[in-house]
Amino acid sequence: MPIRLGDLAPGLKCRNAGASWLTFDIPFSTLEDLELVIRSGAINERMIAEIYGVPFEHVSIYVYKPAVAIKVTLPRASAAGGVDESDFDGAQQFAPLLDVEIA
Amino acid sequence: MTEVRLLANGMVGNGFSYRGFEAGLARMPHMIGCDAGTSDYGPGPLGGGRSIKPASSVRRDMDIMLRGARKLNIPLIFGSCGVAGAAPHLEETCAIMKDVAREAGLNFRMAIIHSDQSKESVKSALDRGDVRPLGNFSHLTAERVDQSAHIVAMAGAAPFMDALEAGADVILAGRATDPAIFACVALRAGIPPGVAWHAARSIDKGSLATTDVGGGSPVLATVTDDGFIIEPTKIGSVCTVKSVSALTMYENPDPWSIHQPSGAISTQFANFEQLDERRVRVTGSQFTPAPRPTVKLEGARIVGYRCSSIVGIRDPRLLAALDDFLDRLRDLTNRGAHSVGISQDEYSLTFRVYGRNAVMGDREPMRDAPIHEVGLLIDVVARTEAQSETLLQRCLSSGAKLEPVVGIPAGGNFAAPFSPNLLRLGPVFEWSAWHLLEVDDERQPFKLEIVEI
Repeated sequence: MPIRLGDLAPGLKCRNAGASWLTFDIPFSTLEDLELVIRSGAINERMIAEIYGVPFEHVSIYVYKPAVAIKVTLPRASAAGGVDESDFDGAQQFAPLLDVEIA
Repeated sequence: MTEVRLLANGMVGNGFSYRGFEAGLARMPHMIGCDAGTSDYGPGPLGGGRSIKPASSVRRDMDIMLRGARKLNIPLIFGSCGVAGAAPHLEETCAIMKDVAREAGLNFRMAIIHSDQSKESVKSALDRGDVRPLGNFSHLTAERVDQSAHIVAMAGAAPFMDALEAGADVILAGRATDPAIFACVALRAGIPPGVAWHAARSIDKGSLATTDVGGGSPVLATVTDDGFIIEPTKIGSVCTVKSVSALTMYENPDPWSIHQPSGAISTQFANFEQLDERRVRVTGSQFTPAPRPTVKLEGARIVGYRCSSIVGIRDPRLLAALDDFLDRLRDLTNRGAHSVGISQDEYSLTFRVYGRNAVMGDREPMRDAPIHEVGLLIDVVARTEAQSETLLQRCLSSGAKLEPVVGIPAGGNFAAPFSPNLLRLGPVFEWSAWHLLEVDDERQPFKLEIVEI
């Protein structure tokens, strides 16, 4: 069975970072898990860009060791708050990341 | 060495632990602060000019904090009052505060920081080229400014420091950054800005700094020149390096840099250390002053009136050809609109298919997965309330009479959960301003008013 990101980071969540960006906080239980995911290369700009339909150069990925976390930030599809908005605070956009295979 | 203790609760009206708060008071804090706003709910609260937090919940939190602050004779500071922090929201909060003070028999000096921006001043700033968009928003125009119901600027620490200088016992601020509420007291005591701002940022979400967010513990920051300690004041709650450092990146695009009007909190060299099982010490935080101060502008404009309906669809034949059904329904509704003299540029009709891709839209990878039932939210936004209701009714009646699949006799199609099955949701707003305004002095966009209570 492949390991999925959601197995290693069940606390994975996302929110708006202001109305223009969507940001994912991906916290791990241990530094070993964090390093396993970094080494696997599974979390990369191209993969995120493909899932969320944005140019890969607009995706920022940070390794934030104090919180044992990876952070991913990308522009929202449209600025939050339009008539067609479906998720004002960007709270449920992380679901596809749970299934990303790590190894 | 100077030591400043800041006692924080999360958003006012969300509740907090009373015992935890009492324990916090026993630590003799130098201030009590609480955020009261957010843009997380979208432009509705700003545009509509009303808080969406129930007054009774706000009142409970305010009452406990005010009594505590007056007992210790320390400042009580609320930022972004009434969720959106424009004039009507601030008035709402002032009225509750005055009421609470009267009942408690308390007298004090109250500072009110107004964040509203006049249309003229924003337009002059546009002319000077001092306004730029944040992220993927388009450039601000004079037309958008004129259409805005309210435009507010987000205050940094300086207006709060002025209010403290004026002897305020209580500060009610319009829109402000969350950490400014707390940083002002530490900065005024001479704490270096990197330490003061990062400490403030670590407590401005209250119990979110702990591992037990639902426990509602207030959080105490003990701040000195060389760093700060974060701890919960409720027995049983704990702060960990993980829980405290996670706040530095929360709802912020970049974990290393958090922008404020006067500069950026820089955390590249911040060191988080677990002091014991419930306290975290942070050192090495820096502050990078901005070459020119900026304040964020938020504006909301009305774009129409919303009328919606939720219906269930269970017919497997209809679900198998749902897009075709919705195309036919849209076409019929458009023709109905035309027949009653509503032109297509006066409304939008959106079908939100819950159970398929309503949450993620085009980004939904499971869009074509099998479904056995969906919730269809029919969403009409039109120029007037009457138009939106007319179109919604037309869409519902057309949908019930439509063939579920071409060639199969019409059979109702929609399971209605309510009677009447129609939600009048009132005015709809969108962000008209989400921009940065460059200023010579970060105090400039704000007005300070002093009231004796």
